[in-house]
Amino acid sequence: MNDNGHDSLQALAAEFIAEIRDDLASLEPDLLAMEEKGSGVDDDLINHAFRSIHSIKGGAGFIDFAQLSALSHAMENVLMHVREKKLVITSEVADALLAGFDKMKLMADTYGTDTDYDCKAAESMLQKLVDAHQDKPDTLSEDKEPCDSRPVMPEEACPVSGDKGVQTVRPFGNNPLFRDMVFSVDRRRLENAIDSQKFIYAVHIRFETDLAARNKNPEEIIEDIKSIGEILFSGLEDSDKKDGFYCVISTILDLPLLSQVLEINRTQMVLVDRQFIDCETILKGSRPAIMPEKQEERDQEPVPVRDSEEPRMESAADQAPSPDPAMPLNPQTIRINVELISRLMNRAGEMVVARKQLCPLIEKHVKTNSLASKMMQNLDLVTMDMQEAIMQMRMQPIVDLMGKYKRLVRDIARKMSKKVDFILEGADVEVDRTVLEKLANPVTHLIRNCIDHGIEPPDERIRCGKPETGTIRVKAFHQGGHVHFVISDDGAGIDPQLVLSKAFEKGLVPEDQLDKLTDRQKIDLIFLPGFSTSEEITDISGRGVGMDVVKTNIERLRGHIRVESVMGRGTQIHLVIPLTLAIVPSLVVGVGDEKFAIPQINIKGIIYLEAGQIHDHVENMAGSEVLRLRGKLYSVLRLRNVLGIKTYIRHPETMEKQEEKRKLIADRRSREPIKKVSEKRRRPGDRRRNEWDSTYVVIVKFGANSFGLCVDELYEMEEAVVAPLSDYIKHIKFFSGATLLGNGDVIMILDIQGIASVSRLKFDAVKERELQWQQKKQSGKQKGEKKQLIIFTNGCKEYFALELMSVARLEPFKISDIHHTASLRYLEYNGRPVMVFSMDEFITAGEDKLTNEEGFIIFPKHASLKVGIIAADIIDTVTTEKTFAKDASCTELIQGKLFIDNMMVQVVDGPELTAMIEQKIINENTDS
Amino acid sequence: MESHTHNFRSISFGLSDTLMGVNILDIREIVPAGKITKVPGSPEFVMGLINFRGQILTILDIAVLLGLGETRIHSDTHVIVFKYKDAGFAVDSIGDVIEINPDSVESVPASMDSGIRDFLSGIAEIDDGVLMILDAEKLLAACILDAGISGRS
Repeated sequence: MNDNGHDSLQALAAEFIAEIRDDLASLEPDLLAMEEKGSGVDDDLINHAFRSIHSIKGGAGFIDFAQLSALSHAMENVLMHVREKKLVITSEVADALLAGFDKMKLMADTYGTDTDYDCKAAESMLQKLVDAHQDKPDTLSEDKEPCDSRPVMPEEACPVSGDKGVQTVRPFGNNPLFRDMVFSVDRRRLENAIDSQKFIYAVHIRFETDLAARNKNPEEIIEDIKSIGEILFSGLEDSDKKDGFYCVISTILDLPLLSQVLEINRTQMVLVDRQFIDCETILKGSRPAIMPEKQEERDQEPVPVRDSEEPRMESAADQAPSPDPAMPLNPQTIRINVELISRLMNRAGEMVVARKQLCPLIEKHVKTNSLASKMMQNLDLVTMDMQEAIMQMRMQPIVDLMGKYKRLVRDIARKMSKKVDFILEGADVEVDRTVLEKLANPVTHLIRNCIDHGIEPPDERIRCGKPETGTIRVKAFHQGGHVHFVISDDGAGIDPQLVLSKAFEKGLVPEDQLDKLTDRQKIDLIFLPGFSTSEEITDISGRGVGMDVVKTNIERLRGHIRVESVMGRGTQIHLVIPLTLAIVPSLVVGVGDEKFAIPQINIKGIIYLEAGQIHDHVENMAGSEVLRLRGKLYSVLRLRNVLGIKTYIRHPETMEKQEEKRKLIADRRSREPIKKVSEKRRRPGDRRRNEWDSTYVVIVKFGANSFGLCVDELYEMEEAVVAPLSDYIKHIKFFSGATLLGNGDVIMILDIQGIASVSRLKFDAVKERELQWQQKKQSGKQKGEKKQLIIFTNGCKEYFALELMSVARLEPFKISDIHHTASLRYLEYNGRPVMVFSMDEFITAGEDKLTNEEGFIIFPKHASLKVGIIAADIIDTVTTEKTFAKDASCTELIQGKLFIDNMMVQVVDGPELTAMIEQKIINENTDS
Repeated sequence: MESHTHNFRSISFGLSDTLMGVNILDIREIVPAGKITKVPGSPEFVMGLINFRGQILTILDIAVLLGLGETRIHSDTHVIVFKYKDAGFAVDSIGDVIEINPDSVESVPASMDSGIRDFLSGIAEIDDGVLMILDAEKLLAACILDAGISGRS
């Protein structure tokens, strides 16, 4: 029994703490906004903040949290002074309030842990503010004036103006306690109260139940009321014969809170006067047109007219949207435990799997029972919708995170004596909460950098002709399944030269690279580990662990980061983050008998190397293999070796099963062309197409690095729901998680970055080799080796040439055979569609003019898809030793220009052309 | 060593010819092993992962931990799922639920191999012979610790 009582009390306390946290969350932006507006602060804002603090105080009192209660009381006092215009919010006041706020937040966060909070400093700071201003004689010492429990307040406040200064008000509604009651209140005070958008209540206080039963005397209750608002009318003096007395008070508290504070039943208090309703509607902006008329009436104010006004007043009440202040502001949301949501999410995933397993069973019955397919479809829809809805539950608006930065920016800027505005655009953009959590760290760092390195001190800004106050703008938006964050400042920008010299100083750039880097590459040097431009280490930045950590964190979220900067104008950092971490589109690959998933974001391309091709493409470099592909070099890893998976192969002649031991894909048992033998021996249904040599190479990338990963099989794409690795295996660097396949199997998701680091891939060495190789190729060309060229034209007297070695085939075609779909053109070739392009789609050239009825298609080599280039005519094939002169007009695609028989021939780079065609196809696919 | 003061129930199972038991309060469920996905690079005592009704569980090979050699998967292999830590362990056969009187539980003889001794909470005499009672908490704690160590190396 006792235990139960204790538990429920604790649960209740937790509820209160949660509410206090909510109040605190809404308080901080208010305080910041108040500082921003300074003396121009509007009452609405103060009242809102005041209400937050007051309900914190109430909550703290309820759970006996004396320290929190005392502190919030001190805060309340300061705000009270602000509201009464005795205190102007300066940065110092804001500092004190925010310091108090921080303490309160700490208390709320550590409630129940027996922490000893030293809030004396914060409290005395707040108290000082109040005291300082109370001493001033010139302030309107109103707080002493209002009705020291004397009822004759109206006359006292405005003794001369007589009737004019008095206004009668009547309680609203038909509460029997207040029926036919009319109170005379001071008009100036009433209007003040209405102007500052306070609530005005008539309260009936009973001596017996409200005071005696609670050991209070009437003076105490009056004091209580004064602590939260103003007394406009008090009937205490004339209450001798009655069991209670009436009061009219103005306060910013809403009804439930007021009732809680005064310990008076809610039925004993009502809102007063039709004017309140006017205020309410004005606030909501629903009936602005009626306002002037009403105002007039109020100004003329013939007291007897009141009765005749009655019906209109009620109709006004009917029209007022929701006159009940007790209504919670946003009844559309409830608090849910995150764990519950992840459980739901898991179960939904399970249901999807169960459905997939059910599918084949039901399909058998489709023929015999027509209902079966309908049921299946229905189940499909419901499960999909459910999964989506649960995914959405995990989404949180980014303002939950970004909203906090307003404070951070303010504090840092003040510390560094800079002036900075923080603007958040797209506050309601939603992101998965795990993503949001993991964004906090890098984004904080970026924003700090903006203030520290970006925004200049005010005097310097003025010198540069910029506004004194700098701006940091965070813009968030959705695009293509990703969330984009653009963090920009209008500060000094990044000086590429300074970055370069710093990086060189720290030995991050080799000397021979110094003059080769473009500005963009120089700026990207800030992402190198150990880089820092700050001369001195401040507690804000300059420890050299900055941007590379930001970059790794962003990449861990499977996102990208890009920096653009214009000297003197500012810096823009662009983050692209996937919407959710929970679902990763992945390619399932097979090695031996096992399957793994590679996240799609890491995949750059896939090639299939047939046995014969391997030696053309793969070369050995210092013990590891590199793949040459379209002018680039990639390190190649066999996933089998990386993971230590045993695979078995059959010996091509003896059919013995044996463990595959070769480490390199280019290894062969013998130099003999075994391929033929194995093809002969291959039996139908053999899973490995070619036991010896063929392989898929998945070109994977992370950051700026990419490498090839050899796998045996490719399976389907899966929308993998990622499960984190358990404690027993989470240290394994090869994997980022596990997931369930449609058939219920568990597979591991590969961590590409982890694999690269475990395998100690030397990306720099490969890049260097690539450069050498390209240079060699270039110089080879310049030396003027013999080359065979096919010269063709587009019919506009523009001539192009392709090296014969990069052409697979030439075929004639009839112009009438070209089929158009949207922006693409197709030809039928051997019964299959071939996508055709003309040269003008890649370089500036005339559109092809097919004057004859026939043209030619050139099939470039290396193209993985059926694609061809249209040529109006083939002129010739020539063998030339001439070097191609490359001039400024030559794009990447054109190796150089050549004059042959009075024709100016542009020599096209075969591999580059293939790459461009593929890029084009990818673009077409993503556009559609 | 944790001592039992009340009667408790234990599920008995066979693991490489040894009869062992674990308090039923420590376990959630017993399921047939099904397909176990191996995790390349994992510590030896991790057998792999299974799909336990949509939840991915790590299956431990406690025989390795106890120094009894690797557990082989066969048609009768079952997985005992722990109540916590998203883990389970594979056993060769499942026995009965046995009511155990704490008086019949003896402390582990010092002569026993320390590899096993560390993970036992006691030895109980039952009708069929002797039941070695595993301490689930210690077992899991050791696994996590070991995983951390092998991760660092």
